[in-house]
Amino acid sequence: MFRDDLWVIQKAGASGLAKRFRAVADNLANINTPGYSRKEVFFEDRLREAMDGKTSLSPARVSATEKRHIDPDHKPDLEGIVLETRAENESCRIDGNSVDPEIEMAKLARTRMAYNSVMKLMAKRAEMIKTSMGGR
Amino acid sequence: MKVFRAIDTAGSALTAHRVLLDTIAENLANVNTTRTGEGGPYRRKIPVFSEIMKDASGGSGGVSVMEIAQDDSPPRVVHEPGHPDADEDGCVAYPNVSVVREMADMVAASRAYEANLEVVESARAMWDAATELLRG
Repeated sequence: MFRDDLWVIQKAGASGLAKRFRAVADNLANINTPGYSRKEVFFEDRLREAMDGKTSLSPARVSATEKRHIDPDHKPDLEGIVLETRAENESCRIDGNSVDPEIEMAKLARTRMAYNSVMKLMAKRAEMIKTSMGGR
Repeated sequence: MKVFRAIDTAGSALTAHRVLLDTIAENLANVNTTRTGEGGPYRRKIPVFSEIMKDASGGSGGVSVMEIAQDDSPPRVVHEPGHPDADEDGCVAYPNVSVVREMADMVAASRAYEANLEVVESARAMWDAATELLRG
């Protein structure tokens, strides 16, 4: 129960969403800064790939060479799947700023909702574990 | 906590846009000012926004007002021979402030201010969701 990937995946998702939220906050903060290039955060595709086991999750892999070893696949290291980039040369404004307020506001709402859902899921899971241990 | 730092980012933007609104108010107040301490008509003021780059310690990002610059475009010259500040040709140099432009800037500034308030509110809601995990 404690060894499955769900915690790690949820944690990676939450941290990716938190990073995206910060990027959106930065973009909205610089909505009137001339020449500012909007920040973007990607992690869903890489997280999905990692969940499907297509890519290795950490740069240095260890493997279980003995049966009693803890299988490293049970604790994937999802650090570093979050990618932050700048959208360069994308501006259609005179001042060279590439922030679109409508898109950022929509992203803000979406990120907030997704983050809250992940947190609810994690809380539910913690509750389930507690119940299974006989806690009230 | 990444989400929490977004509040600092939005806070810097709130400050910057407050400065922008204050400057617009000053420009509008002085739209007809022909005498200033430096002599000559009032000159339009422009706050210069600059992105705060994240340092190694993971600063909050955001935006800051680098300086309040002066618009050096020529003054509005109006023929008004009776005016006490008229030159020998009867022309008065009025400030290079355009009311229409200031009003448009004011709308943009208050929209940006509201957007950043929304970021603060979202960060607060996300923080609440995260602390839900500690419940029970």
